[in-house]
Amino acid sequence: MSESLSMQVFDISASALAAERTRLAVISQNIANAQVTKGADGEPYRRHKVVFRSVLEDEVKRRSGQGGALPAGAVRVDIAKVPGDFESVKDPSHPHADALGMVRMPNVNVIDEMVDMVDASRTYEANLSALRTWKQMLARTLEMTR
Amino acid sequence: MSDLTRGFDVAAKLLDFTSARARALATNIAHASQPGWRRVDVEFGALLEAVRLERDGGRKGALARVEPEARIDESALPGSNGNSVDFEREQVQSDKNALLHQLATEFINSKLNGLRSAIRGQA
Amino acid sequence: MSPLDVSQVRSLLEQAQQGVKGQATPSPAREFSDLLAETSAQQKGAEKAFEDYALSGKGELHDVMTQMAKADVTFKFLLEVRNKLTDAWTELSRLQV
Repeated sequence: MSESLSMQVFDISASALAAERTRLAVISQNIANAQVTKGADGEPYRRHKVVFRSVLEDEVKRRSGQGGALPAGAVRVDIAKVPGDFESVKDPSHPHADALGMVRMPNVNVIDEMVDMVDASRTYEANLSALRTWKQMLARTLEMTR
Repeated sequence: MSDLTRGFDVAAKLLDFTSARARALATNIAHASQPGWRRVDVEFGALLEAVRLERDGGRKGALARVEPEARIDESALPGSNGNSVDFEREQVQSDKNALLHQLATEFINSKLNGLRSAIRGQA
Repeated sequence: MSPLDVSQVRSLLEQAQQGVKGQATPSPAREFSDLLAETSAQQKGAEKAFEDYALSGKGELHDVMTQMAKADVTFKFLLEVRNKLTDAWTELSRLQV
């Protein structure tokens, strides 16, 4: 069943809500791992970030079935690692310190993450508000014949 | 399906479908964290086909016979714990479904009010 | 039933007679059957708009609802006209001695 524009708006809002939730999850993971100096790969934890992109027309066509279809205008997020060198701090007593007493730290700035978290939270609320407003508008339209 | 009840029949059957879908979506939300749970949904294509058969295909009774079916949504990808429910999407599908349900109800109401007025003789 | 002005009925009848003799003059009979046709068309239109939107996602919700609202109003108007005509006929038949 294809959908009218008024119904597609719901899916667009939903995709934004899901994207912000993923963003918050990634931020939480960064904060939790901000002190991990040696991960499974032997390296310090590398900061993750979400990359937003719009759903394009050809992607809409590729995903078939009622469950997967997202209209054009919806958003998706990909999770990527932030590249770059790790900073070193002097901490000779640290178990992972090298011969010079330097420890490489994750490239996570907790303050920046907190600011990001507030933004993600506000954006989530804004999308929720947009969704509610749209629902109300359609509900009013349905009352036209009363 | 007489001319008098034409509009009703499709709207009434649509209510069966929207009710069934509401149940399926609520079940998904209830199992949102259950490992291995794959989301279920109700497809409305069968209803559209039944209406077409009834009207143009000459198959009387097709509309009366069609029933909604809840099936596993194969296109929903499972996450790391095998669960394929996306909470926000279920919520939003619920909202859309509720609106459709409301629309069918309004349609039936407006037809009923018209009939009542005609029977009473007063608008 | 509202009391009816007999002179109104007389002028309506005169109009109807003139309509039959003349060409394309509006007559109550023709207007009523036009209204019937219009009402029926709007009902069918509203029904089609509803089905197209609900089953195939064609059109927009506000268009479906406005069509339904218009069909309702036209139908109620038809009922009112029918009632007035019925009243007029009842009055008229009382006048026949």
